[in-house]
Amino acid sequence: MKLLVENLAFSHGTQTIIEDISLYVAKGEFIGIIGPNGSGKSTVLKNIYRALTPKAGMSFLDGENVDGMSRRKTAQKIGVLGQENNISFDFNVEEMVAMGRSPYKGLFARDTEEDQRIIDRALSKMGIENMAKINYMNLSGGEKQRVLIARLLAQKTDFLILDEPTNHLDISYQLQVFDSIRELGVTVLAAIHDLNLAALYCDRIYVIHKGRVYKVGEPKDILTKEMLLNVFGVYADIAIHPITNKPSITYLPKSITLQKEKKI
Amino acid sequence: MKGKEYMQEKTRQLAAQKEITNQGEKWTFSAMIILLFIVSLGSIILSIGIGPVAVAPLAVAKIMLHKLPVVQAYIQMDWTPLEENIVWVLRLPRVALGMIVGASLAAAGVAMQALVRNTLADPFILGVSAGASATATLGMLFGVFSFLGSYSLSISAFIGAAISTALVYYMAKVKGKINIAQLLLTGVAVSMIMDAVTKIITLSAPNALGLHNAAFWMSGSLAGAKWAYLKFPLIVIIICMIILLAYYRVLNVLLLGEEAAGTLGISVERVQKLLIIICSLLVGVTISVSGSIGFVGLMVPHVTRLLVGSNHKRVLPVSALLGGILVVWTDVAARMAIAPEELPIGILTALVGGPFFIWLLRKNAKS
Repeated sequence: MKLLVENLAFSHGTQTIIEDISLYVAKGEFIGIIGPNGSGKSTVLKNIYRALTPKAGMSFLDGENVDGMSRRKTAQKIGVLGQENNISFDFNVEEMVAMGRSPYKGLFARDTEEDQRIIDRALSKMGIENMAKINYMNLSGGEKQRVLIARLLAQKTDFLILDEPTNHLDISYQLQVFDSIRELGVTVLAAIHDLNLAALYCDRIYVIHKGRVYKVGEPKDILTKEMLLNVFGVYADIAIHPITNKPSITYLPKSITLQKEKKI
Repeated sequence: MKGKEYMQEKTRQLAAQKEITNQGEKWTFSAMIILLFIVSLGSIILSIGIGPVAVAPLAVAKIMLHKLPVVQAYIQMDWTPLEENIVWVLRLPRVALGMIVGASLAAAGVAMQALVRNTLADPFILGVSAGASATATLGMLFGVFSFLGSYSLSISAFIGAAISTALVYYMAKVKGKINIAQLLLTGVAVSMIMDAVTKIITLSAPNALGLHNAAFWMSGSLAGAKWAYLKFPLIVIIICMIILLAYYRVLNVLLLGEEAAGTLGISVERVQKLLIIICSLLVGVTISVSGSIGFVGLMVPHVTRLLVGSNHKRVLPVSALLGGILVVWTDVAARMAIAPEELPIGILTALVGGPFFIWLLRKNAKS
């Protein structure tokens, strides 16, 4: 077991955001978290990687309580790709990736050859070694995301938490990001906005609705018409796609939905 | 050649090329630091020579070398005692103080910008200087910190700087993020309040404050520098630079935002507190010897980043040296512009720094 979360709860003042969230991620699994905007997906993740302090509940990473771990140790075990990655200072790509080494560096530590090797490997794995000296701010959204994944690689963790990593990206980049993360073969817990992408890449999916776990299971059991209507409030048709063997969702516009309802 | 071998060969070539560029980069950076050291030294010597009584640069260099223990024996004394007096007693302390003050203000600017993650931050703009001036005058008037002896002025200034920095920083935070408009406006308000306090104190107790009148606190001056004034600011800038350089990775990561920094193993709150202390120390100590000299902490880090990027490993030493050079030459201009009268140096830096700030604001708004 890589990650075990029990009865996690978080509230803003008197307003409860998430409650009674229990989930687990086995070693090597790619787990998706889906849910409408405001359902609490991000909050769940932030409470796990301690950007927020949970009101109740516990998280165990490799059997160890995350609460008792130092920031530095957590950073050596969990790599996080958050939603906001705006920066108004000009670092080049290599410097950005090098920041992934900071959990391993004490105050007066020098950059070693080993660090440089790890950084180079991360750059080449993401196919961005020729951009090493380019200013990060000048990159396109997809390129930036590749740099950030290279930073995760340099961080050398075997567990990744991704918070909607492909938001605002072109579809080709979305696939590229998921493909490259899948190829790493590490354990992943990811909040995913696009349900079809979640179906393609996830081993199991947690549906979060109104701050609670609504349902969990394999994509084919989770992505159903009922769930989409109850949780997301949309009508859809779902079929197992012949090539991917995964559920494929077709959303139905109002005009068709109305016709269908009349027939029934 | 087979595909696999070809790939290996190619990888090796690329690695070798990279090695060369990496070394090249290191070399250029070292060269830049050495160059800046030479320019600093040159600035010191040249600026000492300039004044109502001009002293030739060669004579200045000889007088300075003559004070060194070993080299002393090889220097021929061909200067007048008057020249030695002007160089050693009057002008060198002032120029050296300029270097220290410039370096401190630039370093304080870098620290503040890392704290608020914005290049528009500057101790003067955010009211930190004003806070330091206010408590320094208060301290002088009531002698609250007089038991600390000669450091009392620095320490009272530090307290005001720390209060202002913390106030502005925590007021500008909206939902865990720094709002830049909020930050600048809070800075303006704190600045006005503190300036008012300073004015009231200096106007109501003219005798007790003697030399240090309102103009000194608000527009800064290096006049009246003595050797005795140099020691404490020098120690402070050296200690602060060592700490900041030790934290260069942390400062870099901090620019990514609090949350991202946390996921990279940084205890963000602790670092922020440390930065508030360091910044207040640098500003407080500087203010107590030179009054408030604005915009150095804004302009110098900006120019530095254009030269070497944002990596603090480079930004810190380059900023410190450039800051020193800038203040030394601005002080020369302040001495010479309306000679024999002297302009307060803070007025000159504001004259240049104000438009620079407006230009930065416009640039920021566009991107």
